[in-house]
Amino acid sequence: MNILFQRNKRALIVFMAPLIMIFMVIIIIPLGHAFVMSFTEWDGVNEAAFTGLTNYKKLFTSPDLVISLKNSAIFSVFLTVYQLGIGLLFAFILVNSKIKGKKFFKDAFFLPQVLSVSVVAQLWISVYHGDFGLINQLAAALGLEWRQQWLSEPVKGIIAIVAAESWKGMGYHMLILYAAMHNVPKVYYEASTIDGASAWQQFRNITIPLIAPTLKACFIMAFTFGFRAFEQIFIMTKGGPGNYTYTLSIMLYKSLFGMQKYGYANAVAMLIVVICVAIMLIVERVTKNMQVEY
Amino acid sequence: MTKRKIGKTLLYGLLGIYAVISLYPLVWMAFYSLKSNEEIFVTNPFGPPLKPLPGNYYRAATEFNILVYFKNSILISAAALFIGIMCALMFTYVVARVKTRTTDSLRSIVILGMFIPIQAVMTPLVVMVKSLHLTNTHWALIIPYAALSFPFAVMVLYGFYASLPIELEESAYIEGASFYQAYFKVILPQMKSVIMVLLIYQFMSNWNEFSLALVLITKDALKTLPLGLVAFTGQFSTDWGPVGASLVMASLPVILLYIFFSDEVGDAMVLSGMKN
Repeated sequence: MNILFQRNKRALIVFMAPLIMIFMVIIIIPLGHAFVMSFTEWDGVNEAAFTGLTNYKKLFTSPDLVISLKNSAIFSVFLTVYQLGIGLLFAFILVNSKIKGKKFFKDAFFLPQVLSVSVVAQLWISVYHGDFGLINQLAAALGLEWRQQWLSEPVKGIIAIVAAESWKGMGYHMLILYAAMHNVPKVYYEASTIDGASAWQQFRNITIPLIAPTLKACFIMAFTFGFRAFEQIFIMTKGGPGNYTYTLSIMLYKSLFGMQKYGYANAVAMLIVVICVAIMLIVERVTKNMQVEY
Repeated sequence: MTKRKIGKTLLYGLLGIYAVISLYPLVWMAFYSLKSNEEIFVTNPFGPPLKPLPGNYYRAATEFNILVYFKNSILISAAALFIGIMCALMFTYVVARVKTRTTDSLRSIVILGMFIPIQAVMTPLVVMVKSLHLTNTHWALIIPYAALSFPFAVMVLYGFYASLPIELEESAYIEGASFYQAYFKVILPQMKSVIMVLLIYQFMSNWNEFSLALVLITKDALKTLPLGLVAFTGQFSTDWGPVGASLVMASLPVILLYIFFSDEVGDAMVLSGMKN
């Protein structure tokens, strides 16, 4: 310990205590509590009864689980392809091409991200509206007999929701990737241009390897999102109609409010944690041997 | 030469098309916030309002309680912002300056908190808030929002403190300053720029937070803007004009914030991308 601070032990503790206390009370203790309570039957008010693995058995045989996992998988894949695909493309264009109005495009692409999820969800409810929505009206204006009930059909529903979510967050990933690409030394590109490399070759052989750590972080963020997804779905369809647009988080919410099954809700929460951690570990494992040194 | 021109035109076309996809829904929303249902549905679905109805905004402001939600959101966001950043500033200062095994592991634990999905702590928080009789007080959200801001704030601040030379404190102590004086008079002013970035980033996340507000607040008079918005857009879903007006009003603060501080927001996002 630096000699400067040794005389001030009490002050050090005063500085650290507030954060540690709040973090314990809001994050650490609830996390442990959720884990323990996932093995009980509990209504949140009365004494909990220990029931072993019953909640988990119920969860793994629930008919909602299959559709939830399927929806989450669709959500994750769509979101990742849209946000990282388009984000990478635009970041590459904005960093490496000589065009005007870069700042405008960057700001325009990012703007939806600053909006509240409630605003985005409500806006897209009206965009998807069966009679007067933007999409169906546009189709009608183009003379197409092609009306869709976007939000009330099984697979279409979850895709409509994830499209709205992707629209909102694409700029976020683009901006992060943009910053990473900006840090790639220009000399690499200059050297390869002299060697006659095409833009695609530069993208594949210079950009991608050098931004790999950032790309990995973005991938984990986007891909785990489908399994955490809640807000947009809750506002747009509440998981319905029926269980068409269920995800794990919607299952958790429904067992908490309405059914008062707090133990079961915690079991669902633990499954979400396990899936997210597993995705992270798998990505780390797979990319471990792909690190490129320059 | 012509080939390059074609390529450039293609690029502009591509960027332009996506700019339309990105912005037009918002413009469309602003348009219909000033229209009557008839104009939205039948006569003029796409263009700017022909007979603007500012009355929609008046109705949104009065019938939808939007001002109450606004006040709650500002109060909760600001309080959580203050508590969250203050705690993180002090904690991280010690952790960055006094390096022992304990402080190192404390820092790692807090930063690891970033990976915990909010759902994991949701149920226990609901129960805790109830048993402490905090349901339907502003504190039910202020303290959790502060806690949620810690991992990111600690990570960003740690790097920043580490870049400040220790001589700053040394000379302050030589001049007879106490620990607190040295921190608040010498160190804290050095942190202005990073505090600014954190303030903007955390304000936007507090302002837009939905999940916790949904499970921890039930009384209408205490709802935050995102929550109140969902309640009344559900209730008045057939009146598109006023609903649009409420959406525009809820979005204006963050859009203005973004327009004025887009560079800082960009910095914050870039920092947040390094979090993994």
